[in-house]
Amino acid sequence: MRAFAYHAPASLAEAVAILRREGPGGRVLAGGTDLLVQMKERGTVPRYVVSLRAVADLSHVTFQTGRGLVIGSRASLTDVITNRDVRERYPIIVESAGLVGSHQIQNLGTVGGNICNASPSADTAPPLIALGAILRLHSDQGPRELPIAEFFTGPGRTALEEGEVLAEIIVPDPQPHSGGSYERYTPRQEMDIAVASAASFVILAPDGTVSHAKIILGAVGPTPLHARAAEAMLVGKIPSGGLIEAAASAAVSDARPISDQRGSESYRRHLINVLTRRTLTRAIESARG
Amino acid sequence: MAKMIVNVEVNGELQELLTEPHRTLLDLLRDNLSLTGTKEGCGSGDCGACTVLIDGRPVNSCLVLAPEAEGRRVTTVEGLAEDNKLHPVQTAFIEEGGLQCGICTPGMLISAVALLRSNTEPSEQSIRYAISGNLCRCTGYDKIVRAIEVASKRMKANAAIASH
Amino acid sequence: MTTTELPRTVTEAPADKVTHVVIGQRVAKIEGVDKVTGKALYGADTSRPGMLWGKMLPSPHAHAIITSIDLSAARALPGVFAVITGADLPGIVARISETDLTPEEFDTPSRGKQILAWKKVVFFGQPVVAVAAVTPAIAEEALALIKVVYEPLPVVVDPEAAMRPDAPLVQNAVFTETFSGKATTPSNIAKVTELSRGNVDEAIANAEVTVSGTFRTAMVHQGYIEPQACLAEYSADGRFTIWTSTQGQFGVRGGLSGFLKIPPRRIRVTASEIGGGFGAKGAMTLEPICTLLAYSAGRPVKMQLTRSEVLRATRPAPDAVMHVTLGARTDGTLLGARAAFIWDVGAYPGGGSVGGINCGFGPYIVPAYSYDGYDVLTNRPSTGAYRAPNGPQGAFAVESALDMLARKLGISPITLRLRNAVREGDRNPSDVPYPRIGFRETLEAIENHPVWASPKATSSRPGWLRGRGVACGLWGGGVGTSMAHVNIGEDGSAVIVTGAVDLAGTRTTMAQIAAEELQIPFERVNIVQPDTDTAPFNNPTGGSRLTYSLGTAVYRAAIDARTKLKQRASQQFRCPADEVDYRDGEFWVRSDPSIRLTIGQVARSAAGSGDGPVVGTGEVTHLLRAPAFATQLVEVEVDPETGAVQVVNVVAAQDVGRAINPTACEGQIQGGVVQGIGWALTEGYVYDEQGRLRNPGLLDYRMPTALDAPNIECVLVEVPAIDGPYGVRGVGEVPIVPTPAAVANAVFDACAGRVTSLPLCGEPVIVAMSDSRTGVDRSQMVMFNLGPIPTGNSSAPESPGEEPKLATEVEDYCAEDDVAEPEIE
Ligand SMILES: Cc1cc2nc3c(=O)[nH]c(=O)nc-3n(C[C@H](O)[C@H](O)[C@H](O)COP(=O)(O)OP(=O)(O)OC[C@H]3O[C@@H](n4cnc5c(N)ncnc54)[C@H](O)[C@@H]3O)c2cc1C
Ligand code: FES
Ligand code: FES
Repeated sequence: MRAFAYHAPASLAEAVAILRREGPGGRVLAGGTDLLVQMKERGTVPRYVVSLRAVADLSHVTFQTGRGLVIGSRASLTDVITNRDVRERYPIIVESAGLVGSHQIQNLGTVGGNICNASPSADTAPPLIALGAILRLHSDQGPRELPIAEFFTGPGRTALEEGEVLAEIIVPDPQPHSGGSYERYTPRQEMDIAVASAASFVILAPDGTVSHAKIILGAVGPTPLHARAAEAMLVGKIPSGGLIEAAASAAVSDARPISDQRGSESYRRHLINVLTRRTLTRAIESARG
Repeated sequence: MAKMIVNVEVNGELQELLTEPHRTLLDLLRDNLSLTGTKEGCGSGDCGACTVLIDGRPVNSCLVLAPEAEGRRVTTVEGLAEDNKLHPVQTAFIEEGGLQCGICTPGMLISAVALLRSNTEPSEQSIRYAISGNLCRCTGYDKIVRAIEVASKRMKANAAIASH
Repeated sequence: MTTTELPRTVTEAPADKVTHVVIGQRVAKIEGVDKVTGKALYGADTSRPGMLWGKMLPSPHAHAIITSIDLSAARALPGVFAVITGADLPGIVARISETDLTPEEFDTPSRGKQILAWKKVVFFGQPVVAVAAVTPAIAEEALALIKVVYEPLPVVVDPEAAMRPDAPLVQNAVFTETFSGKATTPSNIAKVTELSRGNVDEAIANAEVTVSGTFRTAMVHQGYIEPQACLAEYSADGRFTIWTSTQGQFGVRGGLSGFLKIPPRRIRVTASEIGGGFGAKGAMTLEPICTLLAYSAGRPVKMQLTRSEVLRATRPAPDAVMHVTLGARTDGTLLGARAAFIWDVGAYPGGGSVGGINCGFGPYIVPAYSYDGYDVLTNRPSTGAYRAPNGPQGAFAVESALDMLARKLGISPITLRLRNAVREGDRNPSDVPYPRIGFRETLEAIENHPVWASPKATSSRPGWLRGRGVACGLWGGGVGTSMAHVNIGEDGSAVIVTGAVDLAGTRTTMAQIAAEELQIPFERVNIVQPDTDTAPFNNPTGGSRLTYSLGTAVYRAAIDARTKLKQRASQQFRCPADEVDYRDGEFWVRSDPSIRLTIGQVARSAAGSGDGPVVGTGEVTHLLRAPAFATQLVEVEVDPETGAVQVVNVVAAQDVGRAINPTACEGQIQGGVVQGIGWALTEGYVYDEQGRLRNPGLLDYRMPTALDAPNIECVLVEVPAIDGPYGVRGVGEVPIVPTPAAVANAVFDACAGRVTSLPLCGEPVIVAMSDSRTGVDRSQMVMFNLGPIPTGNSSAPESPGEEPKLATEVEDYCAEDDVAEPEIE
């Protein structure tokens, strides 16, 4: 690793003040499981690093009815996975965060870092988008809120502005008759990066029709993608095997995969079909309770 | 390059270490403290050879910047044996053939100890899951899994004796 | 032990007739405590006062001319002590050796000489400049300040493309070597090997059934968890001291002696504890450059490769394209076989085709055959030995083809193999007869195993398909020079001194042999492996040779010590030596058994009287090779929708000759099988069109984790080898050989898709399943027509029939060009 200056502010205000004062060339450090790899292996050479280690009040994971789930950007993936409320109310978050890396990685890494790193294959992104999460961002101008769906702008690129820090991720209250599921394909059972992934989230109306559907695809585009055509097919209909198959095929045309070391374009399309069908089926099953 | 002091408790001893910020906890352990039991297999979180406990949780010390360890409690493989008495997991690894070249062993032991602290009766699948962040290229894992099983049984038996 | 047992005396032989006390026991690893407490010192664990850190600048191109290198900023950086390029090598070596050297001598297509790129780079990640600085960060900073201007050249990373006449030339001075001489124009085909017997055309034409296929494997890495590391120090007396993670300290001493042109006495090498080698650390990697940096900087220098350097620029195992045709009678008897094996040996010649052919076809009697091997250069790192070098590739092709044949004939894959299995006296493809072997016994062990005998279970996961596959493998066995001393302490304990490196437990086995022959408890034996100034000479470890040949040396040294002790006892008893008996630590006079001395008493008295203290010595150069065979049964589950494959169960039968320590044998087998599973399912180098490695890290170079590895039951078959102590055979290599093929055969059994390329997890399974549904046949024989290779030498210097040898020479394992002959004064 090349040399850099290190700051460990004690508050968010102090953190954003440092970012403002020092200007471009700085990086925010949460768990470091992405950032350190980039600094060691990929030629990322920050001039300075602002660690969130000592910032008070960023490590919380709390749930309150009416306010939803709030995940502090310094809470580790393990903190999220082992939280009772998250396990009971947001199983899809546990499912996806539990896939990231190993125990060791989960003890260091954060959901916030997974989001801010903006890898197209980030495992927590599709479920959080599907659940309609909101990001609370801070700069020296104060806080702002942004739907996570608008956050990703390209591989490694986000709507974070110069000097801005992600403070919290807010996930709305769980809806009755809703269900979600996430699945990724990796060649290894664990410790692997998604070749393709899909998150499905549905809410069923009392008449059994789909009132709300979100299908988010991972690793098949520059950012996590909305399978809008597939979503549109579902809303207002009673889900059936045939409908699910049709939505899965539609999702394939929403995907924009490339060929790389992890998989070919055509294989990724094939996977999107399978993963969309599987996650939709499970999401609907769990929404039906 | 500005150097800084990092205060960290390593294997029960408070240490005051001088370092540049661009070094890792792994470098501190190996180069400042000569605790070379913790190994570097990849430097990027993929192999688990550098696993240590921070405040009781296993982490990849190659991905922890030195100053991030400020105020934390670190346990390395050198800190597992107490009073020259091996930890039951260490004994089981030797007896069951849970190591060959031994380069993965320190990290493997740390993951195993962390598992057995939270789960005294792990199933084979949970053992495999617990060590899935620790690559071993020599053993094929079979005998490592057996060793952890044996250790868990012995620790339970010892605990039962102790509680009588 | 009870007194009713037969007394064991020093004169009793052969050893395997007696009741073994320590041999066959599951004793715990002798160095276990050091390894579980973190005390064991590996390659990167030693430091020296004033030590610098060395780092190397990798080439960003796979093939390019180096136009210029600007080192001024790097040299000016405070804390930088040495900066070296390829062009500096002859000058530095000339200063060290005080000889004149022509630069041309270093400008050869030999990786061994060209430790830094010179004039051109030939693979992505090839080291171009080396620096030594006071901290790793300053060394990295210095690398960032170096400006290299490259002129990119066309790149070839595919071996078949590299064989075309119009392909870009990887090396300008490599000429095809054949049995009849050397070609006169440069070519990417470094070597052509032809092995044949009988009339294969006729045999295949007359066959009642034929199968053929083209099989591909990816370039894979040995994957040792410890990256190469080295520490070198130069002292004003002209001596170099090296600490390194190697499979052979004497190989490094010899190699450095040849490279630096200085006698071995100026070099002292300590082999550290080694964190896995699997063949790769039989050749030198960092030692030459680290030594030159230390000399140039005048300070000790430590180097440790990063994981991406390990993957990009050490010596992985070659990828292969293998065309195979088999012809047989309807009862399964093989009549003929034709094969062309193309090996991508990377950017430098070396490697070798014969090993793959001998491993692949060696287990079977084939009356007529023609096997061609091509070693082809590409813009990839030069390749090297990986556990049973080239065996798994060859076996993947041949064992897959046999599976196809068995299915076509509707006979059991085990019956088919038993029908054609070689026995003692049959000859391998290189025409070498087999000594006593236990191949059929491994096949029978699987045939009789409850898993094979019981019906296939259904999959544990809904929607997944379960399948079962069988494959076999062979490793010819390794031999080489070994030597050991057994020092008897004044308490009658023993310390074995060897100069061999313990890769994975041989220390324990050696101590068992010494304890057995000295008839003392295992706990009283220790073993050390000191540096080259202290230890007796040994060839590097590799090729499954250690237990076999070092074992013989230790066995002889222990018997020598015992004989000498008996003689010392006779001096103390004041009787002739042949009247002394010995058993289990006690000497007595045969005519009066009440006159007794313990081994400790004899040793203590001998320390100051009579002929003095005892050191036993044992040495061995050549033994008869002891081929090892294995048969494996693999069960998989396949997700037919994603192509995911998981290996759920393995039964591995192997002829180990004699299991000195069953735990150690099983550990070797299980480790080899899981490496084979990685090779089969998920491991493989991925290059882009510019020849850049796309997965130089352990997240995307996917070695199996504990969750990817199944339970592996080992069946140890014991058919004693003719040479070697207790009939032992090497166990380390062969377990990896059958696994990739067994996995592919099991996948076919599960989903009816014949996967012909590795790694197979995922897309290849989907493609194979769809091919079998739609009847697409990708397995036609594409025979290569190279035309005649013009050779400048008409008289054949070597003919294949003349000196037949198994290509599984130890030399294969420790890349010849690096282990130069030491210059003896
Ligand atoms: C071995 C290994 C396996 C992995 N496996 C997976 C996997 O299976 N799935 C997966 O999705 N990921 C995986 N990852 C990637 C990584 O672990 C995750 O993305 C993790 O969640 C990142 O969190 P972090 O806190 O470590 O991020 P950091 O590395 O600290 O930060 C990541 C990026 O986000 C920025 N950042 C972090 N926090 C903030 C903030 N609050 N405000 C503004 N910017 C911020 C940083 O500047 C940096 O650019 C793996 C990584 C490793 C090393
Ligand atoms: S060295 Fe830290 S995970 Fe490999
Ligand atoms: S024992 Fe060698 S890597 Fe695990």
